[in-house]
Amino acid sequence: MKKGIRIVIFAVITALWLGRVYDVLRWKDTHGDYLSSVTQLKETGDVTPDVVFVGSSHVYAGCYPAYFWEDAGIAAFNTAISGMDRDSCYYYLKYLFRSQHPKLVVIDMFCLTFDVHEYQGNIYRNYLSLPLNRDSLAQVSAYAEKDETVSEDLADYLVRWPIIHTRYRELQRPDFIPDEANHLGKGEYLNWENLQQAKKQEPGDFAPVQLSEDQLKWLEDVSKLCRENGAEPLFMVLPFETLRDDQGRMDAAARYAQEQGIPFFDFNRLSGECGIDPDTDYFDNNHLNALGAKKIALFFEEYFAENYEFPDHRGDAAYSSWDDDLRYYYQRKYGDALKKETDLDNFVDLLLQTKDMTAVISLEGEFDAEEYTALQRLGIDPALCPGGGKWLWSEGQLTLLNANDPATPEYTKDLDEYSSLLVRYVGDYSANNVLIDRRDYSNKGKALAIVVYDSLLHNILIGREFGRDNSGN
Amino acid sequence: MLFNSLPFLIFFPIVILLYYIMPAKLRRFWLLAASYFFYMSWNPAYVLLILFSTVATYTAGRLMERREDKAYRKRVLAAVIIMNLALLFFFKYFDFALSNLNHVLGIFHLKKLESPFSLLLPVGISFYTFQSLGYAIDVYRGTVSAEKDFIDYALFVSFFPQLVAGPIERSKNLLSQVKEVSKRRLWNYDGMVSGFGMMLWGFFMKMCIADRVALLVDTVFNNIHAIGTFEALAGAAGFSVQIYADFAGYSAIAIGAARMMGFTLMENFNCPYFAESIAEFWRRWHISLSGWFRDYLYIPLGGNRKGKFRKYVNIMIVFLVSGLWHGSAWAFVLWGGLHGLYQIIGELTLPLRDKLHELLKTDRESFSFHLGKKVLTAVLAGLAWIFFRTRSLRLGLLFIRRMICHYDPWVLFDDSMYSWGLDFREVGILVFGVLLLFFVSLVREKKGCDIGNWLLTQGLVFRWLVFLGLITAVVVWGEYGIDFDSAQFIYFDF
Repeated sequence: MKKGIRIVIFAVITALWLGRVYDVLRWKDTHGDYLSSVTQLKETGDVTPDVVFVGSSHVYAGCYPAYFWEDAGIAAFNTAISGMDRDSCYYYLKYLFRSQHPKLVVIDMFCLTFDVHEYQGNIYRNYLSLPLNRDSLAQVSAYAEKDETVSEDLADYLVRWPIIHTRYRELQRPDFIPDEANHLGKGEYLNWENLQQAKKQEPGDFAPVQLSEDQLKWLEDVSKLCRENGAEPLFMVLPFETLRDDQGRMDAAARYAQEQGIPFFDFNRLSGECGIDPDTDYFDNNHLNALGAKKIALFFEEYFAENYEFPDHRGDAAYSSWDDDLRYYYQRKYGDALKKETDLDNFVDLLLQTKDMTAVISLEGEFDAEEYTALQRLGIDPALCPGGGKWLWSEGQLTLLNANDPATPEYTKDLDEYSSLLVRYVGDYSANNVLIDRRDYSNKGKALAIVVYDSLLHNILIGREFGRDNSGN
Repeated sequence: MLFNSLPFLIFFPIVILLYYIMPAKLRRFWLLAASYFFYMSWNPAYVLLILFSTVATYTAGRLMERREDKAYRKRVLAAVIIMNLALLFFFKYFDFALSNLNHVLGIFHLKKLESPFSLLLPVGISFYTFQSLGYAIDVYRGTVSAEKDFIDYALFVSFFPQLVAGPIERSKNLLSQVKEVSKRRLWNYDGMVSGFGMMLWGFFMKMCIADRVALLVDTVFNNIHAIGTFEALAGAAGFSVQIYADFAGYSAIAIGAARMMGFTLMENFNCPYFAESIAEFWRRWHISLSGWFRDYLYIPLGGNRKGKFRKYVNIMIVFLVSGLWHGSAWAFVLWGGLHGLYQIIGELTLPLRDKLHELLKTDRESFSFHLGKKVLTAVLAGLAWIFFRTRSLRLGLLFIRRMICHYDPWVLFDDSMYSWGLDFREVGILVFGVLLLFFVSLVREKKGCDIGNWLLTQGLVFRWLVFLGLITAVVVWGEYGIDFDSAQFIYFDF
């Protein structure tokens, strides 16, 4: 009996240990960059958003819950996954309805344009992201009927281990330490890039395309599922590069929605009305950026105000996580701007506007104090420190760490539980005067070096040098 | 149903659980059903072959025991040997024989013959055919009694842990244990722990070492035209590791699985690369097959009792047949022949080597002397493995030629070695695995027991840590799952 108990204890330890290993290896990405709407939904807990967006990457790029919160106090959540297909959409909603009871579900129609995934990564994102449960098993089984690459490896998808175990080759920090963005965000993929000139035109009138039985059944099932769970469905299409047949399918879905009394918004056709500018509002031909998402939000906010009575949850402690989401939005926004900014005046302005950035400012070598008047706004007067110095800017407070005196003891500080700062002065333009972890952010040749640490998202945002080049290069 | 597959991970716990909780009388029926199910998971039709072999040898045993008449017994034995070997020949060697015949016909510009059959080699046929023939010969010799209970005998032939790739068991060992299944108390904590440890170690060898190094070996052997000295050396050394980890890994799983059910299977490997001569290598490598050939071929041929020349002829016969047993290609015959030649040359040059050592005053007890012998034996075995892997005399010779003639040491420094199937991380895991294999082999060599039994002698915490470590290594580093075209165990082909 005693030996039997040993076996049981060993089995329990093994199970717990493998659970921990699984947690490290498991798939953690629905958007790319380790962002996961599934994790973010879990982090939201049992506080129900009023509006849920569900769909493909078009949705996580084009619908920012932070906007709805900031403008109208609407608690929205974005449950998009890259290339979300119909089965994934249906079962993700089923999963969501287990814990959430939104009043409105806004469903992306992009999944009507394809039956099977083109990219392996999107299969993984859609079929390895939900927690392992009855719904996720049904989800992958349903999709396997359409995609033979999945049906061939169905057991692997059901068990997951055979797929995810190879991730030991690609593990990164977020596999061990949860990414703060997944704690703060509400499913949006924040992006201020405008990488391509989107050559967009509103589609013309195309011959209608008949939806397949499977597609019609999905429209029916997904509407029914929403209504059974007390949510109204709303169909939408966010702007993407439509082919003739794709637009025909969207038009057919619009007709279906009209017959069923379901609101339908095709932003391929409405982009002009919304004021979406192809030159500024896309980060590629198929995805809106933050500016485009703002226009979609404004459109919906107006529509919601006219047709729904969503309460304003701002100030409600239960909904404080939406405040976090807004904080996260601004943190990323200012972070993005800081990364792009090369002008010192503007850089300092941005720094002053942010609460959660920590900066180390290092002034060395020969410099003309007049060039650095911008620093006075942070509390540094270069005219008063001709030998330069090193300062810490944190939570709006400035601290002198070293007046470029080699005798001053080195300064160390844990920026958070993951990163440590070391500041010292060995000599002008010497290596290792400013270190975060083991990375060197010392002045390389210019008089002013600033390194910014994102204290909210726990990463080094940028190290930048300004001013006169004294390196002699 | 491969051992390293999800179906087996479901199958085995169910088999073992029911095996222990069901009434003792039913156990043998349950194991027989499980064994046939296991075999039929490859191809249900081939169950007829194993059934035929079982019925034929069972009947022959009964017939031989019924009469004392030696001539009659000999005729029965000859008949059952012919029947079984005919079956083996048909499925394994028919196409090979036909292609050779066609080659001869081609020389005389005669029309080639087409095979009327489309044959797939039934998995494990070489193993269970030899196992059941061994039984028939034992009965003929009177070293064992003929088995009366057909169920017991069928279970002896088909016992699933060792059914498809050995160890090739002797009736004296396994059949007697089968007969005890209904009688004795089977539950044995030590057996469970030791067997579990063996299985884990087997999975580690197969999935973390053999299937990982296979990626390097396959790349090298699929690009023989492009390899230089160091790629060839890495490929040859890699295959020596791969085939050992693969086959010894399978045997460890088989022995462990059987041990968990209260059975003791014979040892199949005993640190073969620690051997100091080729003869010793074969006493350590695939022991159950070497023993089979020794008892049922070499000794009946006269062994070493009829003079030196006849002994050498017998050695060559045994190794050529052994080569052919491994595969229906001349390269396997050549591989077997090489091992035979190694032994003969070794014996012939022994006096000369003795004189040389006396002249040089070699300390034959020194570590370096033993190490040198081990290395030389491993190199000779590795050289022969090249033909085994290429399965072609021409490619084998090309491989060796490139190994000698394309010397480019720069490849050791330009990181190009990491483009031969294994990147830096994978090489690191492989090196760790091989070092662990070396350590476990040392324990085997010094302590004289396998890892399962050795772990039993260790403290609970250490044992559990080893188990957890092996489990983690297998489930994380093991080569399996999507995008992995699982190489089945190499010896399944034989």
